Amino acid sequence: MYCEQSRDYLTAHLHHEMSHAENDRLQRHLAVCAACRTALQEQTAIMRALRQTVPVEPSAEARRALQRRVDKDIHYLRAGRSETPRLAAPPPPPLLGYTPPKALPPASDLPRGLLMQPSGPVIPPVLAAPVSGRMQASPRQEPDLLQVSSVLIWATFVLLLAVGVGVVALSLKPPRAEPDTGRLQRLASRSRMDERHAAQARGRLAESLINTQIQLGNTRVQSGTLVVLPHHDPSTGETFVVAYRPEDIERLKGDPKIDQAVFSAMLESAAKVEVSDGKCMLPRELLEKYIGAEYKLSVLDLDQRIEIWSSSQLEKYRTNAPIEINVSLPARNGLPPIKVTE
Amino acid sequence: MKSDLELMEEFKRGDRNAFHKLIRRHHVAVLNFFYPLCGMPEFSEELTQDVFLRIFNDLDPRTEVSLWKIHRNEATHPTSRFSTYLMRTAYLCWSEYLRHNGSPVRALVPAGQASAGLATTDSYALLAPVAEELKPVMVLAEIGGFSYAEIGVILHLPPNMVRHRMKEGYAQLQASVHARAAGAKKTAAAGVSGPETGTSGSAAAQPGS
Repeated sequence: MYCEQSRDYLTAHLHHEMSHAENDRLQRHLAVCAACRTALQEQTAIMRALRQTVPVEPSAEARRALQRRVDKDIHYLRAGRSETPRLAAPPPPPLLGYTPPKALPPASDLPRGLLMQPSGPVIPPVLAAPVSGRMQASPRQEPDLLQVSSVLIWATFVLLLAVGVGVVALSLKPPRAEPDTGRLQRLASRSRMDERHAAQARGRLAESLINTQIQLGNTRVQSGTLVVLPHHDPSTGETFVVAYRPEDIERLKGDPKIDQAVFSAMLESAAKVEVSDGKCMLPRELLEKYIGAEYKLSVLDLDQRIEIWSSSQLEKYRTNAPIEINVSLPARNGLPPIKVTE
Repeated sequence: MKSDLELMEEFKRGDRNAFHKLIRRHHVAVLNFFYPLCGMPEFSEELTQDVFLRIFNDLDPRTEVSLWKIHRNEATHPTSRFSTYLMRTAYLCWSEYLRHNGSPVRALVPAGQASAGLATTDSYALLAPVAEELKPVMVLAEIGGFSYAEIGVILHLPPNMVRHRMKEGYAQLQASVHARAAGAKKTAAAGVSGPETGTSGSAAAQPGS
């Protein structure tokens, strides 16, 4: 433990607010550090001085004043509170001033000639108040019924008013506009036109196909002849159209690496196209047969050939294609050269 | 002798003498919490009265948001629940006073106590060199006798912060002791005896009654 750390612990040590481990570490440091021992002594002196301060005693007048204030507040606060324990909460006020009458015992249970009080015991008619017969039966119910009837009348009035307002609002609502048939017809014709244009565009694309500059690798093909043939890989199901120069076709015919039977089958469907000003027209039936009349095609300019894919199939191929690795590093610092080809 | 909690329960049942017993038991403690902070006995009395009246209102069963209801769940030690609750109320009372009046109250250090250094018996004079935010921690620890955990409950501070503030307070007091010793040496070397200078040089007006 360093002195700086021990100073952090000194105050807690004075108040016995340290763990055993911290205390042990501090004691070990204090045994060898005179400066920290001096600091501890100083802090001990400060603590003693603080604990030996004379407490302030409240004066008798202050005690009396506090007692008076408390008594005054007690009187004030208890003005609205009974000294007895609080009872259960009072029942909620009646809804809309209406108190439902209590259930009365059946008339057969009551002795004849006795008047019935709604919330009290049965009393003889001699002790009952000399009021009319209507009030005798239920003296507290009549005003409640009046209130209920008035509330019902008001509710009926409000309901009728709301219905009336609704009827007026419906009658004042402007008539619904007739559907614009001309607009619908225009939309329908536009839709048909769009379909026709799309079909035409598809046809044009499938027919003209390569309207860009033809390149074989870095070489522009301005004029000449290309041999277009389909390519189908039965193992992967990939089909696309490939274009070669005639001399490359001749070279491939003698290439032992190529399956000549497959290549011959491809050549059976081949067609020759002329390149003019770097552009060429490809046969529509070939494209439709092997690629499909897709709206979107992709053209790959490779070194010795041009591949024409449907974009969706090319994307699928790229997703599933294995990663090609071709790494070649020269020898360096005495290490042998590295060559990885896959 | 009945415990504080028992007296509280009696007071809740309507026995006002129980509350007076509580006041008599804790009056000096609350007063000596305020005095080292403000340095004025009369003003400390007023604050003490406010504390007990607040507690009186707080313990009323009709009080919906009661500090006691909150505090009794926070206090860790059952025996110190009322005393920590009392000091929590006192601290809130003091904080409210500071918030409404801006700068803290600074009273003159009593003559004779100013130059006494650690020998003074006046808690306000002794704690005068300490920063205001550190004083409540030191007062509660040294004069109130509360543990760090209880101080944390009272001041709503984490234990590490209580420890840090205690360390800072002691460091400031130590520095003032050193400065006083250095000044005394200089005075002795110069052979000049001047007027005494208090530790809290600033003097402020007494707070309004």
